Amino acid sequence: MEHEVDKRSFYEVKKGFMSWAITLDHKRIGIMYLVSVLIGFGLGGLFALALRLELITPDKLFMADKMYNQSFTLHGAIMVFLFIIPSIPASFGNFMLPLMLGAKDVAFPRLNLASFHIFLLGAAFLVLSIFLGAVDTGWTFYAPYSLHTDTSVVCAVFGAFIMGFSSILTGVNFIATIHSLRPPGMTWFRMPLFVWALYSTSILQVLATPVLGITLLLLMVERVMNIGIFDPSLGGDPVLFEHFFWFYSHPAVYIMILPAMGVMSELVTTFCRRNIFGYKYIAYSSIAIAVISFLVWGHHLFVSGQSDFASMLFSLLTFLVAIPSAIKIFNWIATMYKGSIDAKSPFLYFVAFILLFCIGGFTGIVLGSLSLDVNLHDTYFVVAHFHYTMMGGVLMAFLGAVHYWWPKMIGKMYNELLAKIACFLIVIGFNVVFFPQFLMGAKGMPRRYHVYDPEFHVYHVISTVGSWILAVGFIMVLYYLIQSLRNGEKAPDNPWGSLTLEWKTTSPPILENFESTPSVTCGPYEYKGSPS
Amino acid sequence: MSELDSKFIKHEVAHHFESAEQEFDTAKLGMWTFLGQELLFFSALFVAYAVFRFLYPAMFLEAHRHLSVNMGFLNTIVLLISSFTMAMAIRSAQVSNKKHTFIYLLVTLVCAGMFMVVKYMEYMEKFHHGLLPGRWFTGEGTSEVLHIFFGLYFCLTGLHGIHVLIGMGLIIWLLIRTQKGEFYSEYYTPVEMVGLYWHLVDLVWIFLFPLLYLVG
Amino acid sequence: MSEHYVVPVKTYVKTLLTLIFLTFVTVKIAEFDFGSLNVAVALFVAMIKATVVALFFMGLKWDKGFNAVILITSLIFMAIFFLLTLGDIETRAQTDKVEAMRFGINSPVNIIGEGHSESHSKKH
Repeated sequence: MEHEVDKRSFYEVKKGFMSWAITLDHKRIGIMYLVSVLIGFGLGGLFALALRLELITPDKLFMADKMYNQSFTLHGAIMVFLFIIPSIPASFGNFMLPLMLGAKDVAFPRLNLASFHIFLLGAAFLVLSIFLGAVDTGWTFYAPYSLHTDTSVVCAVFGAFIMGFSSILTGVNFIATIHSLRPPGMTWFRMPLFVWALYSTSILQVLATPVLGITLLLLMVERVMNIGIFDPSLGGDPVLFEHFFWFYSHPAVYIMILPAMGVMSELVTTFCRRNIFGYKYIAYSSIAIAVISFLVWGHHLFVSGQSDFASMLFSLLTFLVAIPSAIKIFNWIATMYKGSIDAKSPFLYFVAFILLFCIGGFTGIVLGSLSLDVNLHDTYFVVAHFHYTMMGGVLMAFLGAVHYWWPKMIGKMYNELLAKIACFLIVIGFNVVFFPQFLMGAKGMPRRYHVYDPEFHVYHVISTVGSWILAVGFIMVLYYLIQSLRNGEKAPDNPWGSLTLEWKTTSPPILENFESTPSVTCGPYEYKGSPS
Repeated sequence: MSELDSKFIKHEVAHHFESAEQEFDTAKLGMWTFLGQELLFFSALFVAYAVFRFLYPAMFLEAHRHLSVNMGFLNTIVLLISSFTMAMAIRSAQVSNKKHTFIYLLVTLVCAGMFMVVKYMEYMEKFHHGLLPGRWFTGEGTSEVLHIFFGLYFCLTGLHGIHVLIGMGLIIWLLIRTQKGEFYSEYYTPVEMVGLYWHLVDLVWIFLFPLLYLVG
Repeated sequence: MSEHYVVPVKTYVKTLLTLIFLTFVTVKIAEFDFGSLNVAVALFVAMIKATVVALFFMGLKWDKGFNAVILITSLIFMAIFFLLTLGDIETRAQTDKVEAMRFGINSPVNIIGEGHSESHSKKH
């Protein structure tokens, strides 16, 4: 079976549009996902900037009510469906999973390509809906309003429905890959923690996403045929829609955060040159988060007319999520202890993640408490909370992953100094945007209004100024990454001295990933001289 | 094997797998994961069924009388037989019996077709009585929310019917490949996978039949 | 590949006959009134049938254990979905009553599930 291994990088083996459009190579598919989610992020970001600009005055600046509603809906829907959900698992997961396992590809390469095409199709419907009368329901599509608004709900919902299948198929693919394609010697507890995180994410994608699919399908059927399931005027129950929707969408926030946590484990070990503290606990806590995330969706329904009994139960269960999340945070911090820390830009994003995610997590406990949530529900406190977890958590990890794996994926280095400055700008900008939102939320500023009481004016001004700092930070990242693409220094195979398998091949990898299948004899993070 | 070689097209293991065994097991694991997804996909409709049954028990009692138990029973038997022939088709492929594989798959396809014909007749009967989904509902009854039951009925059986149609498409694809001689004792993965899918379609119906037609 | 267990035809025939027999049972049993247990009884028979299909037709009896784990996991999450959603619906009427008593709320909204009144006006 010996055959000549093509030693050119996977970019050079084939060229041209078709070599990308119908490729079965997981690396190319990962890159295409990366480009897609970055476009999604840019689009969602533009809406965010527009919203912040509108809010700089207490009265109308340039957006009328409906346009404002459409803008925040699109900001949410695009960020959730086009950016955060596919961000880390579909782009870095696809690129890195087989590499980290020493495999040649994912288990089902054709299915992998199909899920990317399905993703594009869904995205096309979502974008199409913008031109057919953008949705103004909020990204949650709550019934009964979504049944009666004259905007193109069916088109947008159909797009999200299709993208759900992309997510499910990726999950199926990853589960099969992790089970079957581990190299000789790599037992379950020798897998990198990013792989564990992808595994738990895939469980969520496979078990939760279908419920979103059927919910959105029922919403379309209800809107087109009035079958009376969600519409109270026909005897239906709108709260049932919220149950269905959040049965998916609460686990979905863990689809977003779990891969981010996986990235964190890779970053902290590499840049502290130290074995991870409590490997098994981090691995198990990923699974625990995945399971518990299915038990807590009702905390989104505290003021929606859910029964008191259910609210109490869900509030209680919600607190459970804090335990595995805290286990991870403590273990990462313990890993840093006595490590030889090399504060390169990916590590700065790790620190930013810990800081911001902790704030997001703690305020999550506040919101999970039934009595407090009744007051804080639908205020800017909630907005700030989930931006601290989603943006402060997932986005920081995403940027960390971009900076960590960029040399491997592209084969070029970027300007480290600019990267550090951009990281500081982003973290500062982020806090300037969202910290004031906690304050005004606690004082009662409701979300989703473009005209507000002058009492909140100063907070909104600070927040809007912060959004500009944030934008400058992102533009800087874009600038030096493009610069690196054009004339960056060639990256060595292992610029960070990391031990996981993806660094054992060339940068960028060859078509078959490895010249010979690597075998594994120890855990993924056993750095020299590091206590285990 | 020399005799087999002449009758069948030899299967090549994909480059990222070590052996045919690993390839088969991976495909099966993936398929089971996909079936898990299917279960959750249907479960939301069953939850909706349970919720509205709890809210409007009298309406459900009234509504299910509009359904024909005989037709539902007939369809249950047809699907069970098709599941049996599907299992037999896989077995025939396992022992490299091309002719039997083809015949059993064909019988499965015919059963699936029968199921859809019976379903079509049922739907026509409902339409005739004005029991259409949602806004076209003109059915008469004592309950004012009768349309919800039929909304659920059409969603559940409709989604199940779509699965049957997809299954029929897959079986036709299998028939073509069987005819080409692609399935034999060393390689019958697609037959096995479609088989699993087909049994799941049967499984869903096993629950739909008593819940929609019988329980009053 | 050839070492896969080939199930005897007899087993499949027996499985089919069992399933057809159980279908008769399903129909016959529905003629009796068990009161509130009607659904439970029907579901119980359906579950036996489903188990037979999964074990024999789908071959879980001879298969790698992990595939059964996937199936059972999916069923557990289905159960969570059912229990927690119904846990809300079944206790909702109770909440609404308490609030009406304590705060004197006279909502114009027709509360769903209140005494299962089924008194919704149909607006077609």
